[in-house]
Amino acid sequence: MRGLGGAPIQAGALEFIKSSSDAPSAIERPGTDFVPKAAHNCHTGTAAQVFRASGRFRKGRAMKYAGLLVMPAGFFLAIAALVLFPAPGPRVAFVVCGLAVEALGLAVAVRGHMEVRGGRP
Amino acid sequence: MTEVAFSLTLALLALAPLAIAGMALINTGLGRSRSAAQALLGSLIILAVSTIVFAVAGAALTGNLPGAPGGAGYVFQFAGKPWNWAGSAAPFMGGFGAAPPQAQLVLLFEFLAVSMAALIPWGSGADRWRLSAGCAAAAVLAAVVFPLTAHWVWGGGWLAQSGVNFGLGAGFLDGGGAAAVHVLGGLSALAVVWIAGPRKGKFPKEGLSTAMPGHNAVYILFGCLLALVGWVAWNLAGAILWLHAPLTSLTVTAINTLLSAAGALAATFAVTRIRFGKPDASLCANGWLAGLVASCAAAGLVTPMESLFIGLVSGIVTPLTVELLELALSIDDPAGAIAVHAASGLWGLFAVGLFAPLPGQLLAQLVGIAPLLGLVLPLVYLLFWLLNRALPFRVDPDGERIGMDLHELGGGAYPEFVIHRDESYR
Repeated sequence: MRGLGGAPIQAGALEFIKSSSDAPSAIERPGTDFVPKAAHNCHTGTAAQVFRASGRFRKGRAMKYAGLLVMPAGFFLAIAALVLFPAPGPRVAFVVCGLAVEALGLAVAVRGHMEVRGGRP
Repeated sequence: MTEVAFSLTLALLALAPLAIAGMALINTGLGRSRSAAQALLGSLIILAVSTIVFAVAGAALTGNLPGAPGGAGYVFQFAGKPWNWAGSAAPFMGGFGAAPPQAQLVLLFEFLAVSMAALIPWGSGADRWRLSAGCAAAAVLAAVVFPLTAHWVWGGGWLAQSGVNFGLGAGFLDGGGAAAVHVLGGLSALAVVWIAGPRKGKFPKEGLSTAMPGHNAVYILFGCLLALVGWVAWNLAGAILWLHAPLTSLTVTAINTLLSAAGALAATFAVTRIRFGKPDASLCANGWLAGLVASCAAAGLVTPMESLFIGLVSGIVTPLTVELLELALSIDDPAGAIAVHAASGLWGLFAVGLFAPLPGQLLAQLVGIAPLLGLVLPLVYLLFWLLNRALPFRVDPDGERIGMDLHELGGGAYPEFVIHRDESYR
C-alpha cells in the first residue's frame, strides 16, 4: 500500500488494519442512529443489557424529536407577539417567552441525545 | 455606490477568502493526524460544491438578482403586513450580467458566505464524517438553508423589513454574517454531531471523556492569524454592503474587529490559565475565533470599548461552553464549532441590540434570533437526518480505526512519519 506521493505506509499504520477483532460493538458507540439495529447483533452484552440499551435509545430518540418539535412553537410565539401586541411591553414579554420555549426545546433535545448515548451524566 | 466604494469593496472581498483558509487550517489542526489530508481536501471540495450549488440554485432564493436588495420575492400577507420569506430571482444566475454593480458585489459576498457556512460543520464531524456525505450536506445548506436565511437577513426579507413593518429599530442588523453564516454553521454542526455521534472511544462507559487533542497546534494558531486578515476584510465589506456605512467610518469597524478578537483571546487565555494551570493553545484559538465571530454582527455598530467588552464575554464563555458540551452534555465537537460559531454568533447578535443606539433594536435582534433557533435548527436537523438515511454520515468502524486518510484517500497526510497506535481503541 502506498500513501500520498507514492510513499509507502509504515508498519505502524497497518496495525490498525490488522487488529480488526476489536471492532466497536453497538453498545460502545451509542449516540449514533445505528445503535438499535446493531444492538441485536451485539455479542458482548446479555439480552437484558441489549434490551435496556434499546429502550433507553428509543426514549432518548423520542425526547430529541419532541424537543426539536417544541422549538418551532417558540418561534411562532415570538412571531405572534409582533402581530398581536403593538405595545412594546407585552411584545417584549412574548418574544422572550418564545425564546424561552425554544431554549426549553433545545434542552429537551440535548437531554434526549444524552439518553441515546447511554445516560451518562 | 461610488466607484471608490465599489473598488474598495471588491478589494476587501478579494481578501475575505483568507478567513475561509484560516478556518480550514484550524479545522485540520484540531483533527487527528490520520485524518488531516481528508480534512483539508474536504474543506476544498466543500467550498467547490457549495459554490456550484449556490450558483445553480441557491442564488435565486436569496433575492439579490436582478436588482438591488429589497427586490421581488415570495410574499404572503398576514395580519395586514407583507412577509417576504424567499427571493424569486431566476436560477442559474440569470440576470447577473444586467444587475447593477452593487448587486453583483452582494452576490460575491454571498458566495463567500455560503462557503464559510458550509465549512463550519465539517470541522465538527472530523475523524468520522465521510467526504461524500459532507459534500451532500454542503449542497443542502447551499441550495436551501443558507439562501433562505440570507434572504431574510440581507435580501429584503421579513427580518430585514421588521423595522419598517413592525417598528423594530432599523430591522434585524447583521453586517458580517453572524446569523446567516456563523449561527447557521454552528447549528448545522450541532445537527451533524447529533447524527454522526461521537468518535470511537471519546466517551467510555466509565469515567470522564477521553481527551483527543488536535494534532498540529501550528496549523491552528497560524489559521487564527490568517483568519484575522480575512475577518477584518469580511466585516468591512459587510459594513459597506449591508449597513451602508460611510467609508470614513470603516476604521472604527476594523479596530472593533481587532479589539473583539484580542479581548476574547485575553479572556480565554486567563480562563484556561486559571482552570488548568497553563493556557490551552487550542482553546485560546477557539477564543480568538469566537471574538471574531461575535464581532461580525457588532463591529460596524458599536464603540471600540463596547467591542472589547463583547470580545471579553465571548472569550470567557467559549472555553466554558466547550467544556460543558463535552463533559456534561456528551457532545463530541472536535473543532468547537458549536461554542465558537453558534454561541458567540448569538451573543454578537444580542450585543448589537444591547449597545446599538437605536430604540427597539434589542427587540429586533431577539426576533431575529428566534427563527435561527426555532426554525433553522429543526430544519437543518430534518434535512440532515433524511440525508443520513440516503448517504450515511458516519464512516464504518474499520475506516474510523485506520483513519479517514487511509480509508477515504488511500494515503496519509504525513506518509514519512511514524503513526502511533491510538490507546483509546484498545
